[in-house]
Amino acid sequence: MICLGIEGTAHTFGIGIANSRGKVLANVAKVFVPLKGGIHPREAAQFHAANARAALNDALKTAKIRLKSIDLVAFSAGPGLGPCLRTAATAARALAAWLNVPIVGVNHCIAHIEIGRLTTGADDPVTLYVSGGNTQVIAFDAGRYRVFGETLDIPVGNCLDVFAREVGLSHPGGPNVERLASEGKHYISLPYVVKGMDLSFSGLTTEAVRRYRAGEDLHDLCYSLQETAFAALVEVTERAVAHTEKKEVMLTGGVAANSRLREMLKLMAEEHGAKFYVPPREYCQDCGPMIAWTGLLAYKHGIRQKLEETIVRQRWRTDEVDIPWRR
Amino acid sequence: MVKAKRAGASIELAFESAKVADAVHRSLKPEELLPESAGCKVSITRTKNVLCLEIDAKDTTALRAALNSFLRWATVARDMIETRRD
Repeated sequence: MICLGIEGTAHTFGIGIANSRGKVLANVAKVFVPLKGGIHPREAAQFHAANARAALNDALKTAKIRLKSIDLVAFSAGPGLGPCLRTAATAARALAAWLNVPIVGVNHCIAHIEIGRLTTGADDPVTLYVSGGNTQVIAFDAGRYRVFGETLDIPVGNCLDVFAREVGLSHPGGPNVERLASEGKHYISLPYVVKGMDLSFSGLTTEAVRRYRAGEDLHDLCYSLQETAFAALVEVTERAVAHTEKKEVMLTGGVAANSRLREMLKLMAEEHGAKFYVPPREYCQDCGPMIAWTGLLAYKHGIRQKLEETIVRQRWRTDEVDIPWRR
Repeated sequence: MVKAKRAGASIELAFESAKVADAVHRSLKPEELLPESAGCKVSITRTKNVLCLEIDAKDTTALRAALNSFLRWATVARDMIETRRD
């Protein structure tokens, strides 16, 4: 069975094609980069609509298949930006309706975990999922992926991006902050907020920007921002590992590209005797194959949706989804 | 205070065949269920190869937003189907 997956929760319009043996046949992404500021949902949706046909063509050419070879269509049904979700959903419905094949709406966060398990070989990891739109510590238990900890306000990727923008660095800010942080020498004390198992990054962002405007060195600030934010993430993940006694830790999401976060999480995992996994970069980012693969898992395990039921859910939580393919 | 006047639009979109129009119609249909906060009601019907969008909005701002959204979705739906020719 061949599934075409459409990812469109935020800045990426991705089309992935995968088969039921877990082979990725195509991974095409068109990424919206705003001229200035952050992502405006309507502008991103317009970008998705304008690039959908080219993305689909590229994916079919890469996979060396024709449109009529598609057996299943999957799409990112949430969580995400409303206009982007609805554009991707409409594209998916049109294909499913035209080809007269089944359609499955997939939870974006769960798709990150499943493509991570597929590409790394991890079986049952505690997952730290960090991106510009989500920050969650997730582990499987009793039929669902449970959120053991999450941000109470902004995601860590958004923290890095907003800070970068406020200090004059270009979008996306994370890689620029990482580059400058590598030259930082002095740690500047910043708000470290862990509340129970949850995290908060808005106060950290505000204070880091305030310290920049007060004249602190940008390299030192980038270094301190990363150390503070990542230490909080590792602390919560460590607690989840200790509580669940799982022997695997996985890092995924766009911020997983950060080498300092990888280093810190790997060290923690080793101290707990757990294996540490990071999917290849193209599968850490938002991508079509993660939707295609999760769609295949869902469909193979009996999840069915009528076309008219494929409504997007902007605030669809990870722990609301039954996972029949895991026991 | 001047009360905003309701605004409406009726748009017909002709496609190359009834089959294409049906696929586009089915792909747009779930989006009729706009939240109340959108301030408009949308009805989509099909007659052969023609889709008809009826939009009743609380004001011109809501009408413009709905028009932009539905035309974008109709375009992306058509583009997906058109890929078969590329």
